[in-house]
Amino acid sequence: MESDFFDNWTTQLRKGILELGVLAALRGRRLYGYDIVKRLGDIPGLVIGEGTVYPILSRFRRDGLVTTTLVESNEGPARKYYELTPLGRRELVRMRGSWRAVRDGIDSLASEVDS
Amino acid sequence: MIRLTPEAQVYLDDYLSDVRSAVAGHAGISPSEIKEDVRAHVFAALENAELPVSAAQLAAVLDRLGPPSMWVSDEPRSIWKYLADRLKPVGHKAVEQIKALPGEAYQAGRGLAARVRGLSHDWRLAYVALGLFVVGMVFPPLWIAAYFVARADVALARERGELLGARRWLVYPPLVIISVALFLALAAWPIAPAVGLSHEIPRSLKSDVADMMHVSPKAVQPVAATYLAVGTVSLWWTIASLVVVRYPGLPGVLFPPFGSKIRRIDATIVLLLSATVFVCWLSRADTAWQVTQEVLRRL
Repeated sequence: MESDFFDNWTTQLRKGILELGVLAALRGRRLYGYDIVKRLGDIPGLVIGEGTVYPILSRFRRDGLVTTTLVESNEGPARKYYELTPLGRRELVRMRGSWRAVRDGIDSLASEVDS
Repeated sequence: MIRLTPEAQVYLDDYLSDVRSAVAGHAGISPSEIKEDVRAHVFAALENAELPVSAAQLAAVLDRLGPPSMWVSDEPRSIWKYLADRLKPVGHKAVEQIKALPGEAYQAGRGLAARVRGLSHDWRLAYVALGLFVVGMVFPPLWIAAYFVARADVALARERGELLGARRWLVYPPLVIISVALFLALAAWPIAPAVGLSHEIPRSLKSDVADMMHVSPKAVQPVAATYLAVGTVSLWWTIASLVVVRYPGLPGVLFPPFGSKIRRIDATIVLLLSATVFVCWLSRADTAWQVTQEVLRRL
């Protein structure tokens, strides 16, 4: 029961945070899909199935948050590089602001008892 | 360039096929784009792997990638895909019931089920649509189910960017017949109230009304019905074509597969014609108004 609750909570948390993670990974650089997945995979518990990142990237492209460029590769199929658009950069700033506010708020709530 | 063992190639093809089935019917998703994403991911993940890549190595990459359903976890589904998925258990249940039949009926049913199962998903839908349509000749409500299954198959083909090809001969009969019936009903329904109203003229008033309309008493009802029908139909077509001018995709949604050929310019022409007819009809409305007042006064 406790485990179910925690699993559900982490799933919900991950869902929202993953989108922020994708935008953050692209801040100031151009990356291809697998590279984004690997970088996000380095954050413990953030990416459970690597396939979840691609639908987010597709949606971001449709919403105008990222642009894509196809680059031929000697190793296999052409690689699709993703890059933030000005809209994507603005949204990232806003999302990071919200994220920091929530994180700091919860941290301060939790530290009230300690102090 | 990465090479796969034949076994690994089959494994990858199966995964891509499952992904294609999972994403079909989801609005805004391009199956070919996802296929390229999967291939690019797999090849990038196996860049430093020993060649040729074995099925086990590939399986590990695909396991980390997640099940095919993961590619559409947060995408909306089209209503037709939803209906097709809902109809799937009904099909399975029917197969179970066939299995429960005794003797030859069971054998025949099993043979048919095996054949249908052996078909690809798209052909299965097409055969089910035609089957429902044929059985619907005995039990007409099944035509509605046939219509929806046929639409699901057409939507599936469109979303995959495929042509229906020979499948259209299975899918078009229910689709065309129901679409044409629906179109005729929507186009001509205002005739019914017009004819009904014309019957409301009392027999005792017919000769007086005939004088006002300058026709013989026998012609009162047909002339009144025609007059009212021209008015109601031209008004309805004016409204309907106005809606189509504003939303040109609507006929394609309502009357597949040919409704999509109706363009905004066609709707504009119908709008102008029907509006002209309606204006002409209004110009004759003074006589109709007098007749109506007279009928109401004497009733």
